[in-house]
Amino acid sequence: MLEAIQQAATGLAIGSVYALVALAFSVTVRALNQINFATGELFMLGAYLGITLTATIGFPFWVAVIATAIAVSVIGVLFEKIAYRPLFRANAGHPGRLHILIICSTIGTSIFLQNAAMLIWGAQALPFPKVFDPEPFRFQGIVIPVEYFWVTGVAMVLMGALNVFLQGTWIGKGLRAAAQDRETAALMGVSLPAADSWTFGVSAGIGAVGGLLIGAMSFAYPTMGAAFVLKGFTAAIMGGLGSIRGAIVGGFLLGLAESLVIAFISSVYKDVVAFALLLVFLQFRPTGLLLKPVQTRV
Amino acid sequence: MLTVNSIVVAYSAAPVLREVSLDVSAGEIVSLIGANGAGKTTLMKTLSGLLACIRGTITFGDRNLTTLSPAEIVRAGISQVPEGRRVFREMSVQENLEMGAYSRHHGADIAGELTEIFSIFPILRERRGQLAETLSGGEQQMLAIGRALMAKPKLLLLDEPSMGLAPKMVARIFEVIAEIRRRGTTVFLVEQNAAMALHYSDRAYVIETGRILMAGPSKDLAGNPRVAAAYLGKH
Ligand SMILES: Nc1ncnc2c1ncn2[C@@H]1O[C@H](COP(=O)(O)OP(=O)(O)OP(=O)(O)O)[C@@H](O)[C@H]1O
Ligand SMILES: [Mg+2]
Repeated sequence: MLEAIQQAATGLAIGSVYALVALAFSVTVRALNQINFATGELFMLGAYLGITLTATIGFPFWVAVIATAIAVSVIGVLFEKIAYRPLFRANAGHPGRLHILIICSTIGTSIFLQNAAMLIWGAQALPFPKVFDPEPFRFQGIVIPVEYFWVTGVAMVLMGALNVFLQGTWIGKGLRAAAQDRETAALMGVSLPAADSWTFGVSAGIGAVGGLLIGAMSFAYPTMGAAFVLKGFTAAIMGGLGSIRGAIVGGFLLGLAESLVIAFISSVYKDVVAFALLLVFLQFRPTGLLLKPVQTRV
Repeated sequence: MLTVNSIVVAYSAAPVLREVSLDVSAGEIVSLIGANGAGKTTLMKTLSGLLACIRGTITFGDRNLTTLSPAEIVRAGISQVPEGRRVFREMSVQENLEMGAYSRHHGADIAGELTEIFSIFPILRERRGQLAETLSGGEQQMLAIGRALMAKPKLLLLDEPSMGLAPKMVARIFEVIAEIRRRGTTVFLVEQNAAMALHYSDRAYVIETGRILMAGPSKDLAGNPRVAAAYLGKH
């Protein structure tokens, strides 16, 4: 039982990171019906920036989180302007062709970012500096590292902030309208190019914070994106790709499922969980838990 | 107020609007009637800046709209009720109305307009917390009109407001259009329901395969044998 509770705490922390990656995917899918295959590398950049900002510059952890989110959001906006908008403009009437080109362009960007990270930070894994209290939280035999609370807490605050942004702000309302019906949103006076920049910026910033949080629990390396992207993508599919609430639900469920398998079966099977769930959902419930099975979006 | 001067608009190859010219004066209700695929929606989208003209100009007052973005055109005072209503289905009635005032930026005081729109459409006040997708077709049309009015337009564009509605609701919608004009907003509407459009408008244009075929006071057009045969179902 102790083991299960302890694993559940880990599951929540890891799950909150999966939820952030799932959110990063779902934000662009919801708004533009495009999957950003560079999401993993924006995640990786978040981990490296977190290390640089805390270890080299000496920022407190929470300042590093905010600075990383802003810096990688800017990269996301640049990505939209350089690698997305020209293709979108030139192929606006050909959605099929646009999809293929965006896949190529986002994969190209991910290779570029991986190599850039290798040049800047080297190919070896970098450990996160010791910014947290090394003495874990203990309660009746349960031992939980302090950083797990930070990770879960930061992720939850970010999810809350995203919700306030989308529901309560002028820009957020415009983004929601554009996600539902671009043309009509434009008729209301929403600037679609600005909305698209915000979409990529928000997605990149969220993914980067996910990477920073994983970095804080382990370390950073140039190809770390790939492993977590598959988990995050699975979480997004579980909740319903393109659903904001679905991404959060899927992330926590996947994290908990993994930790329970570790507690009751064996850590050997940890990674099998995500792939098995991905296959099961794609086969039997491709729209996920929170989206209606048949989507009617006209 | 609005002057469209020989515009040509195309999607890919062949032009859909060919040298279309028309004008709308302040205080008028002007209608454009035409069959399926004549180019009515294409014209409406061009007026709102969703499509660009290959040639020709559109002016509104003393402003050239031809190169403005949709957002700038709403701010200039033209808002549109698009074909098929296009309410934001996953937003509440209230949020849809707020989206109508989006161009006026946030912090704009919209309480006055909300009250005015609820006085025209009391049903929207009752349903303000409901998701737009739960409304009936007629209620959605009212919402789409209310949403466009939230921008405080000088000119309101309506693309087939009667589409898919029961006769009673169609009559109600046209009554509302007349009321909107009385309250000081100029109206330009597109219709396949020529009988209603000609009855409620001051002037009308007939469009066929991208060209304006006839123009004149609505009464005259309603009495014209060609119009009667082609659009009013009289032989
Ligand atoms: N997105 C598009 N791409 C290519 N051609 C289009 C597009 N939209 C409309 N068309 C073509 O342009 C022509 C005019 O269409 P439009 O929608 O303006 O007609 P309409 O008069 O509004 O018809 P309806 O009464 O059915 O609404 C049609 O031949 C149509 O097939
Ligand atoms: Mg039409």
